[in-house]
Amino acid sequence: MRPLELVSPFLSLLPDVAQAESRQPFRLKAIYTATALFVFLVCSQLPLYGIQTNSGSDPFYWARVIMASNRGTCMELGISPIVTSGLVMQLLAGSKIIEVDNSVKRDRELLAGAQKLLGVLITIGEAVAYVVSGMYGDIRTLGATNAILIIVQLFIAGIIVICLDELLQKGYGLGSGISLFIATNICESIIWKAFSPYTISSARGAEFEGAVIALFHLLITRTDKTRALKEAFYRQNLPNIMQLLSTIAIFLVVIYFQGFRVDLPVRSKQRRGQQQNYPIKLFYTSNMPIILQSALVSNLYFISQLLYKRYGGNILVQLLGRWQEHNGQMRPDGGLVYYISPPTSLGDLAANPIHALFYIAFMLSACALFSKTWIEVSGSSAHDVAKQLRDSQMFLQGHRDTVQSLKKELNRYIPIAAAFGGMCIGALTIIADFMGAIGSGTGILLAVTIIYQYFETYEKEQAQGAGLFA
Amino acid sequence: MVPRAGPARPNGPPPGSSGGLRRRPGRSLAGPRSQQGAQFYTEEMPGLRLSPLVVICISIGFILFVTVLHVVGKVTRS
Repeated sequence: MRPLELVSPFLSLLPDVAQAESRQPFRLKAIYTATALFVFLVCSQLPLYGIQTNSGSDPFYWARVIMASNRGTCMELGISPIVTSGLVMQLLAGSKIIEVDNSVKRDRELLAGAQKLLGVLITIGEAVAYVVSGMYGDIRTLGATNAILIIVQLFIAGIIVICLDELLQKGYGLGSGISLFIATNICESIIWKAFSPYTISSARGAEFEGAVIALFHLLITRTDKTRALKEAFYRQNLPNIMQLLSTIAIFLVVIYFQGFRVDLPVRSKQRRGQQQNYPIKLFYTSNMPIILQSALVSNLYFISQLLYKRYGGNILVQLLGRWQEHNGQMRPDGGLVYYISPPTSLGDLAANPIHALFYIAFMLSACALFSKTWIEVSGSSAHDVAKQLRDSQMFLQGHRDTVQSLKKELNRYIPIAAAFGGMCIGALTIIADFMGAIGSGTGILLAVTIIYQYFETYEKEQAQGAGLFA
Repeated sequence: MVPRAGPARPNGPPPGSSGGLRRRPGRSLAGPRSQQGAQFYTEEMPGLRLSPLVVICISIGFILFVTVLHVVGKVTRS
């Protein structure tokens, strides 16, 4: 029996949103998307009932933005269960431990079921781990009732996120829940860092947290205007204008790269003489490589931190990662996790070039690899695309009309586009990190690619004659 | 108008094929699925069928449930 078949008894227990029966009008899609977003935003402000402490170091501060999670609220887990289960299934399928044939319906069903089941299990596992590890207060003072209530709340919230994600994907909404929630979270933090009206008292007197507001405030109140400008542009402790500008620069660069593509001329058998283009984009897998890479890194961080707290003396645990507290946050200080974490500043980069080199190498190769395996799992490899084109009676100009020759021709482009595109995404992430873009390099890259996808979806909807007020 | 739970995709093309391609001649083709972004659970499954309204009701019910828990907790503690 195949390992994948083990999932089938659970299939009937998993919640499943029905596929939309017909194309939904754009307005309805927009309403569903907005509702899902509303639920998500409320959940990420609503505190969990029964928690006692919420202070102390946050073991997930680096993953909050990417995992769309918010500390101490119902969205504590965010989308991390979905993304992690996707990552695990990909690794399993990529390493041929489970075999999936994308053209068999039963296989696709089982794979989707396995992924969802794993997502639910991870939700339960993380919820229990959070409560037991004492993130919400010591479990003895918390009491059994509260502990169970917290787990139940986290569990239901996790199921809701899975359902909302599916709702959006099954034709009722725009894009997917994962991308919507990530993009919202990142944009929120960028807007906040640019315009936050909070004042923070520093050595130089009260300063606004938001970079733009601080710029005007400093320009108006200080007498020495050049010093004020310098301060607003380069202050270290709070968001500054340089960071904002580099965020915008990265944004534009990524949009520019999105347009890079190879157009393959294809002809239809039914309509002779009509030529179309089949685009193969440089960012063939879009933001998938970074989503998976950050899922891998954040899970490694989580496991390493847990182990280091419990068994800090063990040599294997120390090899995996040593942690130290900086300003109330745990930061990796040695071991494997240190080398895959981004350098914190340019000074750090100069002081420890091996770290930086290792980080760059890891980032590029992980992104390229994830990108390459993703095309197999998601059904967009050369083989799948060749079949797709063939099914719709298309053939490549100047080539024989067989799946084999189509595949051979596509194979010249798709794996390279996937691997090289993944590497470019990784490289851009590193550059964004070094330039100090707001919301981390990974965050800004995810946000831009997602916004671009939404823009494309919107254009497509428009082209199909379904305007906002149609 | 809300579609009810029903048989899977009666009209739409099966995933993987590109029935959508045929409808738009003369224009650039849609790319493969991976270009549309993160899509994890895209397949039909014989599971606990929920209609989209039910999902939204459950989410709002959950939000109310947690709010009520907070209120009850405040009242009983004081």
